[in-house]
Amino acid sequence: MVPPISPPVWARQLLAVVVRRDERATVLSEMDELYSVQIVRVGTRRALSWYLRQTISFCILGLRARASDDALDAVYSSGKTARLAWSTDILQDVRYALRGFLKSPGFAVIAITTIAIGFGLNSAVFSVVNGVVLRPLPYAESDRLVRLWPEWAMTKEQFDLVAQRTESLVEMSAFTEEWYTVGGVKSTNAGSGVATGLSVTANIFEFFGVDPILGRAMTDRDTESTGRKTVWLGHALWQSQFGADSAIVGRMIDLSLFTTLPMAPGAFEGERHVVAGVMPTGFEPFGERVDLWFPLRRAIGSGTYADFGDLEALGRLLPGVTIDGLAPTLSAILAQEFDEGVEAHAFEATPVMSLHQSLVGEVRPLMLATLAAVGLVLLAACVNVATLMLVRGAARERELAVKAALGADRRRLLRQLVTEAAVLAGTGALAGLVLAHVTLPAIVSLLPSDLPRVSGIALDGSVLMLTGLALIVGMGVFGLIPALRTIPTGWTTHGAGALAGEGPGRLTAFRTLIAVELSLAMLLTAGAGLLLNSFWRLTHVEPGFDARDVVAVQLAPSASHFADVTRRRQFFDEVLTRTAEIPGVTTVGAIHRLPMMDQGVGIFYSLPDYEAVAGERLATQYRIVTPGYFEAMGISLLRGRDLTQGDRDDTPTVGLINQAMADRHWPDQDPVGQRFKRFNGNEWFTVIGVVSDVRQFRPDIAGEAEVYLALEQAGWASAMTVVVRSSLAALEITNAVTAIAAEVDPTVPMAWSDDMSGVVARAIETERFYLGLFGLFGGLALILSGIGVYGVMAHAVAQRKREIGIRLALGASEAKVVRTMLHKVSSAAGIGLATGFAVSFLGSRAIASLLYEVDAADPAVLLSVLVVLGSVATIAGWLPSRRAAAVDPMVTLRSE
Amino acid sequence: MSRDSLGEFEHMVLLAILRNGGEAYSVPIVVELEQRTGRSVAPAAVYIALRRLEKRGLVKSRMVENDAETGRPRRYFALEEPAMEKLRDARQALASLWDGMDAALEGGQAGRR
Repeated sequence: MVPPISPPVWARQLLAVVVRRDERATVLSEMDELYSVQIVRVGTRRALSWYLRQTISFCILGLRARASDDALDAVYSSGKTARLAWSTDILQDVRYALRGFLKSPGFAVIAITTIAIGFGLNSAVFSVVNGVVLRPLPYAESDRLVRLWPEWAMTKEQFDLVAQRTESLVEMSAFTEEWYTVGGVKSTNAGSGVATGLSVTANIFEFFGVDPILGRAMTDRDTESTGRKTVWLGHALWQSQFGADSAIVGRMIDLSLFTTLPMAPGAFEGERHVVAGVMPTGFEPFGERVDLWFPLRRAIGSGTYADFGDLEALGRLLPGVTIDGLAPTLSAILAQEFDEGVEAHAFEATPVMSLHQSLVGEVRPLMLATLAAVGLVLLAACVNVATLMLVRGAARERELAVKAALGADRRRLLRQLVTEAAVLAGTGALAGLVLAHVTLPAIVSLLPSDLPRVSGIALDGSVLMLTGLALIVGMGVFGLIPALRTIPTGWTTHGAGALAGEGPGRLTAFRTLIAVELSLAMLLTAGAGLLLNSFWRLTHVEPGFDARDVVAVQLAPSASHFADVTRRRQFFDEVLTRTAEIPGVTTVGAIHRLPMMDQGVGIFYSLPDYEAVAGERLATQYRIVTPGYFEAMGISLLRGRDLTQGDRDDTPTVGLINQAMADRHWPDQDPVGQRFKRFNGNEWFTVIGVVSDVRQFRPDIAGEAEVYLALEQAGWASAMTVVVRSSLAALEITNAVTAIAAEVDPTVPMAWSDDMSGVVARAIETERFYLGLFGLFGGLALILSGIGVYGVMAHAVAQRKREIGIRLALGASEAKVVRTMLHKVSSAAGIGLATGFAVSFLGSRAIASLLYEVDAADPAVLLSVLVVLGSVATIAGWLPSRRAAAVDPMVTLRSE
Repeated sequence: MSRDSLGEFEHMVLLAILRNGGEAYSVPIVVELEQRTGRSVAPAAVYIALRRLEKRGLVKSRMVENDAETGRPRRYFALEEPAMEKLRDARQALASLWDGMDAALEGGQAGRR
């Protein structure tokens, strides 16, 4: 027994799919034999190609042999292979389809445009969602990478202890984020002069399995505090600042750290670093661009960092260990070892989650909701094209009936109609991909700036695959269904159709499509309406300051350069004084953490006569300000006085509090004159004034208790943001402040600048982005449903022209005719809108997290949307009816 | 072409079976057709022709689950009496049409109208 050689499994499977089940076993086995014969004749590769060609023949001949008794002879005697014969047929159908489209270009243009927009939007949005959320992290066994206490940063000692006590982790790594200016580069563009740096444990590259493209790996020796300081460059920085210089390794570069974090003088000595390597492009393990990689060498844990640790810990799970399995161990360690010196919230926070989840967990629900919404837009587009094809098919009834009468069988007609749909779908999808390719960069530039993994967004293979899949589904919806409905089932269809209006089958199809379109439009427009309502409220929140005419310019002196607090205060004093002298400038101040940009710095504090409940620790946030800040920002001073130039490091320590802080501790008495003490400090701060609450982080989050301290008395923070109220343009102010700063101290670069309205706008950019997106979706769905209703009505009216003519001739009023026609679609529209209304109630919960002071099922919004859609549907239906009713009945009747 | 008459391809398939001793499965039929006609033959076409010939009672098939040669399934098709009759008829008709035309064919012109 010599079994024949089999072709590859996949090829054999393919053949198995296309042959009849009762012949499958023998055909497969006998084809194996023929394949063996082919191998002997022409070699393996060409034999496989032969095998695949034969598979196509099986597929095609299976259909043809049933379609026509003579097909076999035709194929054989034509001397061509079946493949060629088939493709000739297809070409013929394609040519026919194209001719048809050229004859009625309006239909083809609308259909292709609709498909292109649907596919284009889908491909673009899927590219974004795929790049940001769906794609796994690009590291070996990335599903085993975890983030420990994602909401809590630990000290080096705590980190070492956790590393010691957990056996379920193979390796641990850690990092901490800092901001730098490189080589004293100054810029006038917001942010471009700032480099993001990470101090990392030496094993981090190994941890992610990524090697530098230039230079060497980081070793433990790099973390020793003696010896030269080393740095690894991120790919983007290497290209932008160093011209992708391949000889960069070994060169010395100047880096200056600037920070608004509490930092002890001297924590970051020396600024000259030797470049030890360059990391590959796209190495962004924490979702954002990293420009500088430093070995973690500062003496962390020896009191340099005021109240908190700042290490973010990572781990790699051992095979077989799950996140749920590790969590109790970590909680136990936290409870046993870190009962002191750990913020209370650390105990409540999730102890461990996958690194992927920690990066994209927050944005995932919205991203997926967006993907679903854009999928609905595609569905609406497909349904719309199906409606148009059905309308067109009805208009072509005569043509198809003639063909059927001349002997074309159902299958042949079906194939022609499906080919037409395929040509539309293919052209539309191709145009859509081009559209996506063109618009993707624009969409990416509009993405909220805090969205992680943006650099991974691309129109890649998976996007193409999805588009292909959507194409097939779309073909089903707007190719096959209308085609089946359109093909004449018998001789009488044509005659009866013309006389009696629509056959019941097609009418049902029309009504269903209209209902589906309107319900989709309702759902998508409701989402847009809710977001619009919420956004309007967001932009009308009173933030507690007056953003108009205020420009903010962040100056970033290096931490080491201004280690001396007095020197730093003198620098800012001089810059502020000289800025105030610019004509047109009303008031000037500075703050170390700007509202709507950053949270304040969290601190624990105590009061002289406050008895804390066991375990309770009073916590608040502080911001460092200069005299004039409150006035420049338009924040009201409610009681007491502002800071003055007299509040120095040798005068009594003072602070201002906000109303929320006053309400917390001194609701019934004057807070001015009261005292508080920072947890780790010795001095008592005396309250000298109370200011109104400010929305500190976002317009939708009410201000919490907060204190404001004087620059020279608070101690830390190198960078300050100068706030200027003036009648001048933002750019003028920025240039002026930058120039003054450079004159006062040439080493101090500007980190970024923006007008305050821009800062506020950026705080709600996520909402703005989703509003734009859903607005686009809703608008498109609205237009599509309008086109759909219009198309169906125009068709129905055309079909019943004669009937309308008779009615009018017999004395029916125009209004009555219009009403009768509208009645045809009104029930379908009603069902569609009602369904959409019900679905919106549930579906809009998907975007609830974006809504501010608007309920996801807000009846007012949903009802307004319902009214808008109802009006659109009515107008779209009314227009063609009105036109038909306005025609002279005699004209219509004579034309028949 | 009426349902009764043989198509050209069906005719050839029947002859290929005959040349294989009156019973054959697809592989020798395909090989025989390709060798004799000098054209490539799609196995699918052979299968469909056989299927239809069987439906018309011209051939009869039997399954062999474990063929002695390969140990794999094969379906053998044997000519039935009506097929033999049709082949004889066709041959006779063609032969009578060809009778005395050899010279004309060689001359290349005489056969044309």
